[in-house]
Amino acid sequence: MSEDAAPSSPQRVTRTLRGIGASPGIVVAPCLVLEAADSTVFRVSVKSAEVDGEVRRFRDAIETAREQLKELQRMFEKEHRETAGSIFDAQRAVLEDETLMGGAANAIRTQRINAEWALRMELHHLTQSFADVPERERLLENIEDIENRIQKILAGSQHHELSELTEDVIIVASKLSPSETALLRVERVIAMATDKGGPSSHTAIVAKALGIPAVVGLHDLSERVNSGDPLVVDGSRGVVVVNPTPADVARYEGMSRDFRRGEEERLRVLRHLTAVTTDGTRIEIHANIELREQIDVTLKYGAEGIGLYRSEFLFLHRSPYLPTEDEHFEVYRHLAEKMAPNVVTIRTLDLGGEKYFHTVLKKDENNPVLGMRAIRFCLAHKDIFKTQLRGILRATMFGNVRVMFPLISGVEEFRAARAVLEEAMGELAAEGIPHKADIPVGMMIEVPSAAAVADLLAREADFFSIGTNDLIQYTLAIDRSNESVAYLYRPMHPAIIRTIKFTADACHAAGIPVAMCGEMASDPLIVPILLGLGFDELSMDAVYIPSVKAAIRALTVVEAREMVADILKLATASEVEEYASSRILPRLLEAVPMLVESSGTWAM
Amino acid sequence: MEAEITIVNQLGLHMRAAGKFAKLAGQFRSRIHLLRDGVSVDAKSIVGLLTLAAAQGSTLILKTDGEDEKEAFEALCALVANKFGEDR
Repeated sequence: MSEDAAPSSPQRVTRTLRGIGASPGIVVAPCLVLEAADSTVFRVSVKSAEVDGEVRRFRDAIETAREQLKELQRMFEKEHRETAGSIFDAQRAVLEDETLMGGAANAIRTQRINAEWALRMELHHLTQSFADVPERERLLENIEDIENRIQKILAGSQHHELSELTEDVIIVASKLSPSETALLRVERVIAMATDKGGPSSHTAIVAKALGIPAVVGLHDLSERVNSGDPLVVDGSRGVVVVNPTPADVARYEGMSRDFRRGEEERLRVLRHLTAVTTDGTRIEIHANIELREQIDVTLKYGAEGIGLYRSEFLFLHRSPYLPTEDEHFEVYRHLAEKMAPNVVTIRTLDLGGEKYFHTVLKKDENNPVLGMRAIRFCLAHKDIFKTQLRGILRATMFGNVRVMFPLISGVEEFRAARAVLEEAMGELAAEGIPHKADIPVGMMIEVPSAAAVADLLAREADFFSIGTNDLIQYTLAIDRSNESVAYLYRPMHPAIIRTIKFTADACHAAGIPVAMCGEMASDPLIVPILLGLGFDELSMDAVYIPSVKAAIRALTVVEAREMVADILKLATASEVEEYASSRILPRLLEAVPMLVESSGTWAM
Repeated sequence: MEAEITIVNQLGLHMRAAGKFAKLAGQFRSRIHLLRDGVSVDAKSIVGLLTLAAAQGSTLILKTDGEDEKEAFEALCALVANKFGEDR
């Protein structure tokens, strides 16, 4: 790295940290540490023609900060609080100090960088030189206060966006909220690593959706590194290397190339093949998506339909506004046309819980995961719900569209949701707007109470899709983003397998298709169990499609049923996991070589 | 002018004290420097003063040079002796 690249830890120790692999792949790049949402500072290159303007912007910000401090000091002195006032005097002395501020202005000119980053670097160097200063902690607090003041002023003028990043970065953060993660959908963000979060956290979901590597649950990574430090992120093994040696870099870059080459080769071969067992049972393989732009990647990976379109992102992107009926319609029509004749399953709004903050939600729920979310929210806000349903119904004219309700807890709720759909149909018919009245209406099975009455619900719904992330969370009472209990999040818990079996059997008895769109559907070691349980469709993030197809193509449905029979006799999650690694894994190794690397993620 | 001065206040040459020192020094035309263990800093720069890391009991050399060097010297010595206006 060039010496102007970034302030970084002076010791440069190479460290290997173990976390949880949340999205596969390997990259080597400098990191960008995101701090609290508003104070995030990052490096942007400034064109030479704009350097003078950037220096002026910086000087103006300093001047504004000085004025603010003067005013504060006047206020305090008026109240005879001399001591408090003189701290602002001292802060002002720092602002007026040419060694510091001249240094930052000079950095803007010579390195052509943005004012925010120049200030951050200069103050970073400064605090390094304050090793033994008296009252060091208070001094550092004051320096931070000064920086925050100036950064705030700079942000208020005309600030730089992450989308202006000119170099590839790995995002490092303590945790990423969904709205922060939404901001990270930029090309230059090539991996993520977070202190908190489990394998099903939002970071993991988004990283997989974007097809970039991610490692979560790294404890204190964000405190150990500074922006600009080089990192290796190995999302396949759940490893992060801080300040890698040149030998590490060479090794991981080689692995990264092999990973990509292997992936491309597998893709090329598997894209046009169906997931059919050697004895002729076929499972449809669908993709989970949240952005219309993902359709192309989905097709590239060989998806045979969309098993889950997470429509809440449509709401998140429009926040604080709500999408209009036409906006809904346009997105759904696009999906339907692109996928036709294959199916597109639109899940209605699943806002709330721990995810997808939008201003229409109440903020003061004590326990949002058990609160006013998803279908409950929609039934309480019928106008919002009906607007979406009308958009979906209009899109039925352009392809093979299904609608699916999230978080249904029992028959009454399903009927209530269906009634709103029928109301919407009635309105459209009265207005003479074309739509298909025979749209398949399904529901997610993700609340244990719905699973318990799956046989009753199967009489009313046209299809089920099991959402395992929430189902596991609710069944096992585990907050999946709380890393201190993340070890209890065990997809192979016998309670989960029984619940899934009961649901699948209910579908078969009623003659409706059963799908799975949760995390479990993408794990090649679990797929044989789902095959044995008679699933009709599996839906997953597109990157997993090749592995899942390969696994199914290597098996017979007869042996899969035998595996299920064995597993149903086991008493603990550990026994099932042990069965998977001793019996299923060896059976699939040849077909899905990536399993060697990924099998560590759940067998911890 | 040049002489040894000793930091007597309890907190030493911390941020607020350094701010007062730099502000006062800035009111004179003379060049003013503080030295500690052979390291010399511009006494009109708070950042420079802070890098001296002068705790209570530290001995520093104060140098003033210019038309108002005497006034500057006396004023700064008084500020230090007066514990920068602090109680202890």
